[in-house]
This record gives sequence, C-alpha cells and structure tokens, in this order.
Amino acid sequence: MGKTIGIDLGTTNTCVAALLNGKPFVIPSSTGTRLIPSYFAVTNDEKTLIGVRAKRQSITNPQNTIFAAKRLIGRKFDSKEVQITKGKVPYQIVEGPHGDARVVCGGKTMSIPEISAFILLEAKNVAQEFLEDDIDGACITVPAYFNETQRQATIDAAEIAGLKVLRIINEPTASALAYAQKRGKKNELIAVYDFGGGTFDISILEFGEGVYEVLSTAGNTYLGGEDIDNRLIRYILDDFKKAHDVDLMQDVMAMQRLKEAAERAKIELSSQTEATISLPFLTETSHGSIHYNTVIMRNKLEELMEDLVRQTIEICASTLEGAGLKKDDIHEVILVGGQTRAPLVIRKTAEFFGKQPNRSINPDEVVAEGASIHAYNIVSPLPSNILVDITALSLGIQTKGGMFAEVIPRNTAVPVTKTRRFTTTYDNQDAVRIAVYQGNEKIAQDNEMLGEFVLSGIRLAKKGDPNIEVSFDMNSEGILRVTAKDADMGTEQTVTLEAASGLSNDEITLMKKKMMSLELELKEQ
Amino acid sequence: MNQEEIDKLLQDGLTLYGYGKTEDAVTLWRKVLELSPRNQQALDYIESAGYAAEPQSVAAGTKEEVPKPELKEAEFVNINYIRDLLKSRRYELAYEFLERLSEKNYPSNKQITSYCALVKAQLIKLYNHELFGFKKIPKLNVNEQDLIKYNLDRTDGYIVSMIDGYSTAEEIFQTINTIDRFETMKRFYKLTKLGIVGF
Repeated sequence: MGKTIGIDLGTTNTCVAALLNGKPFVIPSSTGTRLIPSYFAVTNDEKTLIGVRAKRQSITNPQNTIFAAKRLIGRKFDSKEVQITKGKVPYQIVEGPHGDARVVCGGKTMSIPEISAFILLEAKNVAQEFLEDDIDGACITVPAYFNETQRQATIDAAEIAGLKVLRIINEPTASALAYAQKRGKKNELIAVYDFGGGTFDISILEFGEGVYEVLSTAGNTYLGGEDIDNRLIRYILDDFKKAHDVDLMQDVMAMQRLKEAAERAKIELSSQTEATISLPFLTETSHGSIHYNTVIMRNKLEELMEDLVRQTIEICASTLEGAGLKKDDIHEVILVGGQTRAPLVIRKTAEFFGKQPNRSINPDEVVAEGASIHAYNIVSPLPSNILVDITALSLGIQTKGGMFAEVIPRNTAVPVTKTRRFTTTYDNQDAVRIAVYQGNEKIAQDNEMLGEFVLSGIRLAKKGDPNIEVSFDMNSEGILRVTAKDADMGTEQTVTLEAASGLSNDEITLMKKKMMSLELELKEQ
Repeated sequence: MNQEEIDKLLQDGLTLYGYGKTEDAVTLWRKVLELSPRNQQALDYIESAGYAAEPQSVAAGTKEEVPKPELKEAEFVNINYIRDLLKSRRYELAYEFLERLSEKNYPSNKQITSYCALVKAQLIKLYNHELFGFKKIPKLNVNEQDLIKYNLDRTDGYIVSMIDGYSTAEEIFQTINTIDRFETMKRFYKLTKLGIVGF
C-alpha cells in the first residue's frame, strides 16, 4: 500500500504534507523549501519551469509565466472574476472551446486545470521522492466558497497529474482539523483567519461531538500578501527615483531583483524591527552603475499595509454579523497564511476578537497538515473525525421574471435534501423548464448555471393551480440530484448534475498522456 | 548538393564541438566536404580544430583543388592574428576580436563568420568544462555589500542575484531569459575567474 498526502493548492504557494507516525509532516522539496510557488512558465527555448524557478523569472518573462491560476480555475471566460483577473495579469487569458477561461503560455493555449496539474505534479513528485513510496491518493483543499465547477476543475487537474483525489475539502475545515490534532477536541466555535499570498478568507467553524461544521465563510479574492509586497516595491521605486532620478519600472532585471528583495524584507520584518535591502549594480545610467542600499523599518511597512489589514478586519466583522454571532462567541482564533506572521495582523486580530489568536501551528503549513490528516482518516480503518462541509453558495432554480428561487440556502451542511413547491405561470401549461443555478445573486442568470431539464405531462389547469415539487438532494461528494414532480399527476423527472469543469473526458485523457511524457522530459532536465 | 543538409551538418558539428566531441564534429564537417569539397566553412572549422582538412578516403590533391577565397591585405592580417590567438588558446580575446570584425569591418566575410562560430563553440566547450558541465550548484563567495568593489555591471548584478544556493548552473541559465545563453555562460565564467562565484 502506498502513502496518502494532503495538498494545499494555493493561489501563490502550494504545500504538501503526509501523516508520519501519527503526526502531520510537511514534506520539503530536494531544495529544502517547504512551499512550492504556484507558478508555471515556459522559457524562450521552450523549457517548462514549475515552482520557485518559474517564479524567479516571472518579471523577466511575464507573458509566459502563469501564476494565480486558482483565481481562474473552473470559471467561465466572460465571468466577472476572469475579466477582473485579465486586467491584473501580464499573461493572455482567452476563451476556451467550452466557454471556459484558458491561458496562452509559450505560444500554446492551455486550460487552467492543465496549469494546476503541473503544480500538483510537482507536489506529488516532492512527496514521492521524500517518502520513497507511491502516492495512493490525496486530499486537496479549496476555499470554502468554491462552487461545484471549481471543485470539479480541481479534481480534473489532479487527474491530469495522475493523482487520485480522495476528497476535496474546504481550507478552513483542514485548518481546524490540524488545530484539533494538536490541541485536542473540544466543543467550541473557531474563527479561521486566512491571510495568504493572494486572498483573504474568514470562516467560522463549529466543532462538537466529533463533527466539524463550517457555519459561515467570506473573504476577498484580491487581497493578499502580494498586495503588501507591491506597496513596499512602490515605496522603494519612489525612494530610488528621488535619490537617482531613475525610473526602475522599465528595467525588468532590476524589477525582478526588487520584487524578491521586497518579499524577503517583508518576511524579515515579521521577526525584526528593521530589514536591510542591499542591491549592488541594480541598474546603470550613462554615469555608471547604481547600487541600492536601504534600511526599512517595521513601522514603515506597517504604515504601508495598515489599510489592507483594516479591510480584513471589516470582513471579519460583517461575517460575524451575518452568522448572527458576537465576538465573545468565538472560543479560538486560528491564524492561517504567511501574512498572519506580521505583528500588525496579530495585534489587529487580537484587538478585534478580544483574545490572543492561536499561533501554535505554522500558518503556511496548517492547511496541508489538516488535509494530510483527513487523507489518512479516509483510508484508515480507525474511527475518525467526521467532516461536515457546507454549501458556500445557494442552490436553486430560475422562476418567473428570471428571478432566482433558493432551494438549498448557502451555508447549509451537506449531505442535505430540500424540497420547495412551485406552480405554473399560465393557463393549461403542460410543461415547465427547470433551470438549476448556484450562486448568491437574486437574478438567476447572474449565478452559475449547473444544468436544465423539462418536466412535461403536467395536469392541465388554471395557472397557479398545479403543485410542482422540486427536490434538491446533495451528497457529501457535492453531487446534486434534482427531481421535479407534478404532485397531482405523479409525473416525475430527475437529473443528476455533476459540475463540468470546462474540459471533456477526452481532453482530460489527452492532457494526462501529454503530462506523462512531459514528466519524463522534466526529469531529464 | 543539398544546402539544408550541409547547414545542418555544419551546425551539428559546432554543437558537438561545443560539448568537447571534437572528433565527432570533424567527422560531420568532413561529410560536408564529401558533399561540397570547396565548402570554406567546413575547411575552416576542421583547420581551426587542429585536424587535417582532407579525410583519409579522399584522394590526395583535393586540397589543392580547393581555392582559398582571396583576402584583402587587412583581412589577411586579421585572420592570421586570429589563428595566432587560437594557437595560444586565447579564445575569449579571439572571440571579442572576431565579434568586432564581423560587426563593423567585415560583416559579409564568410571566413570571419565561420571563425566566429567556431570560437564560440570552443568557448562553450571551455565554459562547459570549467563550470563542471553546468551540473554543480554555484555559491557566492563574496558578501553582497562587497560586490561593489568589483568592476561589474547591472547584468552581472542580476546573474549574481539568481544564485540561490540550491539551483545548478544549468537551472540558473534556464531561469535567466533576458540574456542570451552564451552571454550568460561567458559572464558566469568571468564571475568564477574573479572569485565571486565558486562551486
């Protein structure tokens, strides 16, 4: 029997862990790093780069370096999120044959699950090499707000990478699992404050009777540690311009060095009150080379990031309010994501929640650790904790006027079955179209359409008279069965809706084959 | 005569030469001479690699039948200077000189272009050998602050910044895509000679 692993497939970094001797263990790569940057690139001479090497040339090769693919996975090209991302990244995003968002890299159009597959493949190889064993399966984490399409696209990515998915679990749930493993199980309400490289999420979980339940979740998918890096880079650029009257923005080699230096300085300032940046031969003018040396104080960084941290606290406040909870109801605050190492974040969360946040777990690794615990629990015959996940988005159908009628509200624990009654909109109507949507918008078409079918043979009657029962049955794998029934006639129609990621089965098989040959090529490199 | 095939043989020979497989390279260039006995590029490559121009199987006299292109006096002097530099293995100097000649003085002189390609291949061979086949992990021997004591430029500064302590030279070359691969090798070699980078 091989090993199981947990993978935190992040927007900016990916982390892989396994349960060893009953304890979660984050697996380092051969280079000793514990995080794999979620970057993919194709070089000028058509070499494929993944992880840290792809990141280290992201500014000098911007059109062919794909990052933050997680913001695009499982999304339609014309969706708001994709259009926003299009304006923020240097690489090209195009429409795929199924209306999905795809990227152009190295002159080729690639699907997003393919890009994520490269990152997952790297994680799998790191684990396989370290554990000296085959990987039988993995639990992969996703944000709690991911819809079924995004989850399915993540499963497709794993399949392309030759990785069997044991379960897709929500990131805050994984964090809570890791937390419970260290602290022991108590009945309590936990707030998971997750400030990562690219996104911010706050989730409220309830742990009781061996069951975890996500009560509420919210966040900002465009607020993360990289925004803080960018503030620091902007500050340095201004400082440099003032001192030397040179704009470094056009110098890609200087910008690549500056980005790395700013990230390093930010990390240093979490444990020290000042950080030195030394960049000899950063650029040159007709007068010769220019070196850059400066000391950044923690106070300065905090001044630059203060409003961003304030935004996260505002989201926390509205999430608690939305869940009908008070700050005092929260027993424990868990900090997740590298950005929570910043003293300002620790101070502000402590101030807001009125208690010191729990920092006993490495914030970069907690999600992967939790996923590895769950992966082990799935294959282990021992009794384990039960995970209860919620529907992050409401599920329902389109009604008269294009309105969205909820059948399963958001934040409902799954598995769940719910039934609502509807009726006809005109006299002698003998058929109704059931269009199933997922989302939190009031207008049906503003949400994600999952599928549609027609219930025919309805009893002919005046409008509003027939009773049409629509039942939604969602299992713990996220598969939804929708049944529409004419309660008077007994006529019934059922469909099973599995989210389509934007890739056909044939495409996935083809990509998997391609990936296997590329894997050999990568090993040879 | 298939020009495409000849060009491929010439280029493949240069690649092999760059990897230190001189005999294999010469075999390919001799194949060129079988197809095109007067091919000046092949003749120059073989000669510069220190081998006899004619293959064993070719009848004596072939060499005499191949007319050398006429060189103007200045060009002749330059070619002789290059040959001297190559004999004394001063490849970097020869390359710099050739580059200047091919860019400014004689952009269309095929003999100079051929020498340029060959010296480049010779340098790649040297860098490959001196930098351990690009397979070792380079390390910085000098503190970043002390770098300013050296006569470097922004490109050197960028290359130095890419040394991370876990990537091999080859992996670093792949990551550096704003600078030509040969230029990166050349600068890397210079940094090792200056003692800034070690293995």
